[in-house]
Amino acid sequence: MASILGELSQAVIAGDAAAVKESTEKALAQGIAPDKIFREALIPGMDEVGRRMEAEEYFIPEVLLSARAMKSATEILNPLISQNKTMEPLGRVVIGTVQGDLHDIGKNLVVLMLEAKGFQVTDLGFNVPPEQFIENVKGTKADILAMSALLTTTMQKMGETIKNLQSAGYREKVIVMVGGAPVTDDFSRNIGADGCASDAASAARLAEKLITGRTEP
Amino acid sequence: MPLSHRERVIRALSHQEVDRIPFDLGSTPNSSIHIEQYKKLKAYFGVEAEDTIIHRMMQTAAVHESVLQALDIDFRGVLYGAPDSRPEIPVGENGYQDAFGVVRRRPPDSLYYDLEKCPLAGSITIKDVVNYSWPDPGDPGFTRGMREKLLHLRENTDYAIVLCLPAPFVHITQYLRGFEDWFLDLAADEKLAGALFDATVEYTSALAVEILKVGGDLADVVCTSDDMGSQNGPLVSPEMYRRLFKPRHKKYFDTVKKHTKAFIHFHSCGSIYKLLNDFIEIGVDILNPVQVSAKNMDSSILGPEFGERLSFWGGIDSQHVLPYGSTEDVKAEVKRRIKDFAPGGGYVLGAVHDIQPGVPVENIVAMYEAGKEYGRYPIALE
Repeated sequence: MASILGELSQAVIAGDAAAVKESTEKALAQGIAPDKIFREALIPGMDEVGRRMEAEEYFIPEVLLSARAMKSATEILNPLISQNKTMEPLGRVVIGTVQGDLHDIGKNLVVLMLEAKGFQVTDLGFNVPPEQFIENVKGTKADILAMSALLTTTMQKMGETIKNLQSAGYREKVIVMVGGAPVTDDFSRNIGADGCASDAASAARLAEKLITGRTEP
Repeated sequence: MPLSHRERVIRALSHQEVDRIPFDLGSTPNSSIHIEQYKKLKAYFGVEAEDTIIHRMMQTAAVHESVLQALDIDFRGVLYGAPDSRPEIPVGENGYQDAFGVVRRRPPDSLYYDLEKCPLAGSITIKDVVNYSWPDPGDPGFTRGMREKLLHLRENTDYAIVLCLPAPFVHITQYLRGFEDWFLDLAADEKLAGALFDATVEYTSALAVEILKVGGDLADVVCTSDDMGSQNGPLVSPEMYRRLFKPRHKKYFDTVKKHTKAFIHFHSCGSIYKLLNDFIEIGVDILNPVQVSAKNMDSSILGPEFGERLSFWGGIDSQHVLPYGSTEDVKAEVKRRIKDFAPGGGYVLGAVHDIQPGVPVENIVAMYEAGKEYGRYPIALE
């Protein structure tokens, strides 16, 4: 059992989508539960990818390839997890790139990393207006709202969305994370977000930390 | 007798100390100013003449002669034109299709045009690359009026002349393929990536030759660009750069060098410290914009290590100091960069990239004033 999960992890790191799909199917056939596959194969695999990116061993091409390979696994596993009512996700996230902004490669990597961690993610895509974020946060009972922006002009929409959450009386019900090239800790604090991250790996770690902090007594 | 602007530039780029460091604004599409901010700068100098956009996607403005003279800018730039046979085509609201078939659109409240449609995106093969139809490098629209502009500058002014050349292949292939597919090709289908790179370099080299046939003898500097870095590192590993990119960049620069003796100015944004020796090896004389706030790109690192072999053009921080600092902060920034880059020649003062909206006009003026105050040789700054 251990070796198939090890193989799957290696396939994610190597960016081999075909091998990821095959190993995922084998693991399921061996009776390994989907959440165990996430925890013991996919998460360690993407964590290693994130580590290699931070260590400047992997660059954008390699990370994207691993992300695409991981999608071969999540496409199989996600439906199984949502069908299985006994398996609770780590948390529910609504994510998108803000209004007026079409950049989404970084945000897509964050989606993959969050799914690898065990979050259930609703990806709204790009050019998402504040109202759509709030509607989906309420509709999915999201624990986390994650917003991405690549431009100093569009990042202002993050503050607007948080204000709208406050007006709707919903701010206390959801953790807000922000990210993207121009987003700094100062900016994040000034707009009242709960945290920001500078890359996909640390975004997923931060999400886990924030949600664990919230649910711990 | 005081040095001419041109003499100052040529000696500075030859790594000689002159009277003062040269200044640039507006001689290249990547070292100018966004039109929204330019309106304020030109008003400061009492200029009312009409504006010209020199780069539609980035909304960069041409700078009027009186502003350039007021700031004592040493360079004047000449751009190549657009092909007659492939005019821009409007697409819906605030959208256009360019000569490569790439569609861009400007969202409301945005400062720039975003990439919307890429003609070679998605599942393609080498056959699609082979069958792709390039603009004709011999199209007269590219070079119409260019020789006259260059001759006018050479015969009637003493400014150093910058002639713009096409980007070799990185930008163009990203726009043709779309960024996500472009990066995935590098990881998963190097043959396809390489084929597209080669086809692009063939076109851009041919166009560069046409431009240089018209103006290569009159240019003091030729400029081109291909961004290889992001904030924290190169876009690809140095090993991949050397394997897939460097040979194509070298081919392009070798072609350029056959047709001009001008200095080669290469623009690459981002953290590219790990690639600088490679750039120098393939013939880059000048690095721009020198994104000093990116990883490993501080002037205190670059100056000592590369200053004798590479000239630096730009370097005044535009991510923090120019937009958010006081005029005193700007002056301190200029002093710091001059101290690191200017000794031994080889430094041209300018902002890192085009000056953006939000940069106070006072800070722009302070940058050049500080250049005059601290940039006189011999440089003796604490």
